[in-house]
Amino acid sequence: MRRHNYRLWKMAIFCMMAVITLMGFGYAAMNKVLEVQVASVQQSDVVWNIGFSGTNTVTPLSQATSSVTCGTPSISPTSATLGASHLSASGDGCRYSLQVSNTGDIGGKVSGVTTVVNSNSSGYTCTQVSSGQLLSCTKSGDPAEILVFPSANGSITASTLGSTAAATIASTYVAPLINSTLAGGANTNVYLYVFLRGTPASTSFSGLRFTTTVSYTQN
Amino acid sequence: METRQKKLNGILLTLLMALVAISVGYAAMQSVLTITTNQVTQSTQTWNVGFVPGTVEGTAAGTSGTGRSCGTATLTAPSVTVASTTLSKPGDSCTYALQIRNSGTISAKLSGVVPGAPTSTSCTTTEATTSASAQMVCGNITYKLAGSANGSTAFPKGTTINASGTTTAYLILSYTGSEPSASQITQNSGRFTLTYDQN
Repeated sequence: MRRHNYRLWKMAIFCMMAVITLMGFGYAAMNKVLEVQVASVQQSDVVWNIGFSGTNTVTPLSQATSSVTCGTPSISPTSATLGASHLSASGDGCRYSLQVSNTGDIGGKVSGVTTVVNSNSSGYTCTQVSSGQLLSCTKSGDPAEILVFPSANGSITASTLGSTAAATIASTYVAPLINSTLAGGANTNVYLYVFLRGTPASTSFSGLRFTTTVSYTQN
Repeated sequence: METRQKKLNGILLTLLMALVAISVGYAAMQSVLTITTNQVTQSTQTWNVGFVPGTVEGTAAGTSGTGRSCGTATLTAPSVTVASTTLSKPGDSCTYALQIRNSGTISAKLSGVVPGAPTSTSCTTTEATTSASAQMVCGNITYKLAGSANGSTAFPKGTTINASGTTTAYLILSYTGSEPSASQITQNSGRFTLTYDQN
C-alpha cells in the first residue's frame, strides 16, 4: 500500500513538472527579447588649459616726435596687467603683444571680447562700442579720442586707423578675433592697442583704468 | 414463502417502473441542442521581431574630436553590439539609429526596456515607462535608448510594431559630466534589454 502511494506521488510530481515546463515554453514562444550591448565606453584623460604664456612685446607707436611711454606688462596665466601708458600727441599709441598658449588637449575658440572701464577720473566719457569690443573715450569740446581694443592683427598703426569711425574699427580689426581658434598645443598672439586720436585740449589727462577680457571656450 | 417472493417481485417491479418513469421524465425535461461546424481553418501565423541586420556608424557630436571616437554598431536579429567608444569631455556623444522590424504576421508590443549597468560600475538606472525612455547614468557617461536622435522623443513601453512594420530606436551615449575626464576610465558591457510581446 505504501509503495502504491509512493508511486502515485511520483506520478503527480512528474505531471506537475511537465505542465510547468510546457507553460514556460509557451511563454517564451509568445515574446521576443532583444539586447543592445555596448562593449566598452572609455574616458580618456583630457586637459583644458589656455592662458598667457608670459612672452610679450611692447611696441610704442608714434607718428610725431613726441615720446610715448608704454607700460610693462605683468603676466600670469589668466591675466596681463599693463603698466601705465603715456600718450601725448595725436597718433600716439601702444601695442601690447601678448602670447596665448593652449597647453591642453582640447582646442579653444574665442567666444567673446569686451573692454570695460574700471575707474575713470580723466574727465573723458567712455563708451563701449559694438557690444564692448572697443572702448572709445571722448570729451565734449575736446578733439582727442582714446581708443582701447584687442585684435589678432599685429600691424595696426594710427595711419591704419586714420579717422575711421570707432564702430568700423571694431568690425574691421576686433571682430575677426572672435571665433578664432587655438588648437591644443598651439600658441597665438593677442594684441592690445591703446591709441590717442586728436590732440587733447588739456595739457594732460590721467586716471583711466580699463580691463579687456578675451574669453575662450572649448572648440 | 411464495407470498414473500411475490411481494419482493412486486417491489422490484415497482422500483424498476419508477426508475424508467424518472428517466422518461428527465428526458422530457431536457432539450438537446446541437451545433455543427462546417469547417475550422488554422492560418499560418509567424512571430518574428528583431533588429535589421547590418552595421551602423555612430554619429559623433561635441566641441572637438579630442578624446572622442564612436565605435561601430553591429546588428543581428536578436542583438546589437557597439564596439569600443571613447567620450572624454562635456558635450561628447555618439548616437546610433537601430532599426527594429516585425517580419511576422502578429503585431508586437514593447512590454519593457531594462537597462543593465556596466560591469562593476555604479549607475542610476531607469526602465522605460509608458511616457519615458530607458536610461542609465554611470558617473560621467549617460546611456539612453530614445525615440529620436536628439533624445527628446521617448522610446516608451507600450509602443507597437504592426506586422511588416519597422521602428527605430536611438542609442545615445553621451558624456554628461561637468568637467573633462581627469583620468582613464573604462565601462564594459553596458546594455539594454528590450522585450516584445504579441499584441
